[in-house]
Amino acid sequence: MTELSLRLRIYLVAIIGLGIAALALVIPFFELSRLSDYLAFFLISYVANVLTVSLPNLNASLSVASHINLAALLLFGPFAIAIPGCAGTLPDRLPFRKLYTHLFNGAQLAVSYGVAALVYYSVGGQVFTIASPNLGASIGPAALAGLALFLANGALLAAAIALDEKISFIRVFFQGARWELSNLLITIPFALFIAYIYVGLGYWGLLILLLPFFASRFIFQTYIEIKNTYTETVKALMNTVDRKFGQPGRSQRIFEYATAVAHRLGLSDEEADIVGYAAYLRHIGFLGLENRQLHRTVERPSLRDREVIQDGLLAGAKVVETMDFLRRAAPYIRLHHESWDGTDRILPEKPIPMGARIIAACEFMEEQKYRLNGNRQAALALVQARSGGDLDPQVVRVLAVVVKDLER
Amino acid sequence: MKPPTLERLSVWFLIGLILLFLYLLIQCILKGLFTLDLFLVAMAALLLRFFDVSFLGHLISPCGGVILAAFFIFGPLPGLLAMVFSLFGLFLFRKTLKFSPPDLTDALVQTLGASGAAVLVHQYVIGPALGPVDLSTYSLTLFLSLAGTIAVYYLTAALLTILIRASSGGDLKRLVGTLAHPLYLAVFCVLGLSTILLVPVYFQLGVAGLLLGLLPLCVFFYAVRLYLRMRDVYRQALRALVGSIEAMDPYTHGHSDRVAGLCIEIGRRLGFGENRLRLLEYASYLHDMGKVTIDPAILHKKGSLTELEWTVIRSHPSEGAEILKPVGFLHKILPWIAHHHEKADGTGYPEALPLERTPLEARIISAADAFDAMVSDRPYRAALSIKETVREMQRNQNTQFDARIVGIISQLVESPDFFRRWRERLPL
Repeated sequence: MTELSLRLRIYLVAIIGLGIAALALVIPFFELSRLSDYLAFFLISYVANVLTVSLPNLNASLSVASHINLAALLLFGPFAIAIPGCAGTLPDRLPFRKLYTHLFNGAQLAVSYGVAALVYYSVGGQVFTIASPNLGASIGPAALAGLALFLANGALLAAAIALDEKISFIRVFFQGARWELSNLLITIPFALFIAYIYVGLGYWGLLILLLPFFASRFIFQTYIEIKNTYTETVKALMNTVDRKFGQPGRSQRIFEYATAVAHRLGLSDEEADIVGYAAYLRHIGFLGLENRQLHRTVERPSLRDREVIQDGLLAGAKVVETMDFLRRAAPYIRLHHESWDGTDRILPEKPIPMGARIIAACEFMEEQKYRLNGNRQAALALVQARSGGDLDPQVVRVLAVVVKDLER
Repeated sequence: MKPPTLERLSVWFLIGLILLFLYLLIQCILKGLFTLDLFLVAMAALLLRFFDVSFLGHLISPCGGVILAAFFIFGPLPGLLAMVFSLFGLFLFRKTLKFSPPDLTDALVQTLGASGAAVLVHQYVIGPALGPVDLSTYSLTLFLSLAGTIAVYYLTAALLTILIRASSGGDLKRLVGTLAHPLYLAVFCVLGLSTILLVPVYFQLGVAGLLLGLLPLCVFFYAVRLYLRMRDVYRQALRALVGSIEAMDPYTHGHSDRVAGLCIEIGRRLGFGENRLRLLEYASYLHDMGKVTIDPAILHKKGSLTELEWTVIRSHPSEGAEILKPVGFLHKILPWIAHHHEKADGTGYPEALPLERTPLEARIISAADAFDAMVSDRPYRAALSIKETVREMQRNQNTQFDARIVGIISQLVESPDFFRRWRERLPL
């Protein structure tokens, strides 16, 4: 655990203080008759925190906690901000983190929902009751409250991350904003829906409503498990092939370079994934080569060996073509030995796709680094010397940045 | 008889469906039942088809929930109209969902049959028995009346599916067994309970509430589909990766694939559950993974191998387990791979374990592996016939093979067309 900077520490203490103040302010709204309601929603909110679903490929997570918390605010009045405040303070997964992270999390939720409560009840929103469940009158205030929640929550978290990692607040704030905002479009109607279900049907309605969400979580988890198994199996096999080539860990490093370069070039997450897989699997077609041949093709390829290599690349592309998710990686594998400027072409395919160009540059970089006993700077200089010739200058430029980043 | 093609089937079903649709529509309009709400609910039934999943030979759809809700809320005729809408959805999405003709027939028959059964049972058995039920609030009678009808719907659907699939060559025992699979049960609990919720929600919140209530259901089915698809994708990836290992040695082409097919059949006859079968399948695909570390020069060598070369070859089971060690999910199958060359009398490698200390799965893989090797050509001998192979294995039971597994294999080869079905990976 790195030491926290002074500014971050002051910020954390300030927010925790603000959270406690917010909770103190809502104590007058406490109603003893609602105690079981508070507890029930607290329990559901906490379970939702624990059962958060992280969405594959989206770098985001899905939780019904915010829907529940917002619904509680509409149902039980301002005191309900204690529900996310307390549920957020409890550790939601093992191992436990530092105490202050839990306190801060609870406090920032209490403050954010406090802002939302302030907005909701000051623009004329009313506490839901069985007698007057008037949907129409609540939509406007609830939407504003949701928006306030989104802004306050986003800003509080972004400030903490910006202070911790010393990057621009604006950048952090807008990074997550798109997903959060689209999530909000669902949160507001759904929070209203939960509130109505609860008023009309009580706990049972709530339970049945949330059941599919919680069930989905388990399914998503097994999905992610298999997806990871897929990646791990590919890596395990190819790492073995690397060891056989006498270059342990090479594919892993090329994979790291290639994924980082793909991200920096603005390729989608999915596409960057495919480029990464292609980087890992680029030599899958070489398994049939006898060791003698293999070492020669790596060290000093003759013209005949070049044919052998080409056959290996084509065979590898064929293997990948039969894999559903990775079909698009086939041309990257087939073409990653082609030179960018078109001299020395072996296959007539044109243009060379970006994925193949990325892998070409990263592979060359890694080969040179290995030849130069790990000297990154010298290897990079050799890569840059080929920029515009064998290698795509745009990719080389980004690779230089990535290499510098990784060095730090 | 030539099996009817998808296109021909579709045309006839579609014509019938349009006639039924027109009849129901006219009936509903004449009786003043066709409202905007009904239209929206029916459209939801149509769109929900997008979330259909195919699971171990059963087709599961979230549409049932909406069809039943429409039936409870608006009555039998409108319920059937929603059903027809959902069947239109089937045709609309059949390309995106990659339905095979049996899937399509199954979906059509099970939806029609189950809806019919639900209407009949509700109208003549459950409804009259419980008397008038207040649909707008929650009560025990409401719960029972809805739950009963929903159960009839899904049981009929499952029964029809089993009948259809079994009559077209599916494994009856397996199809029935699927009903007890945890994922299957979870899907039906979620679906059934959500349906029970939708009815009072409609009466309290209107059609907007009902549509919102479908949202969690969509998320759930989406998750199920992602999961099932990922499983297929992983299996496919294993086949491809293993295929490229087999390319090292032309004599083993398709070997792992056939071994996997045989292992699963043996596992099924030994009464393995679906999860255990799945792991066994992965293990049988990966059993020769360790060969990657061997120089193909040794694998290709004609003539006898030196002692050193034999040592290298004998290292492949433990190497395979070693390679896969970083894959957390597969930790259970590592010993199965490491010991697939043990012999029953304790003279195998790498550890010379006797029969009772070798994992059952490793013994299955060992027998299936040997079976496939014997019925295939090798550089040093021609393939044996199936009869010869089985006789050879019986001669070596208790010294090399587990007698129980040899017994199962000798039963399996009795099934008609065994060789072709096994090679084409059809159920035996």
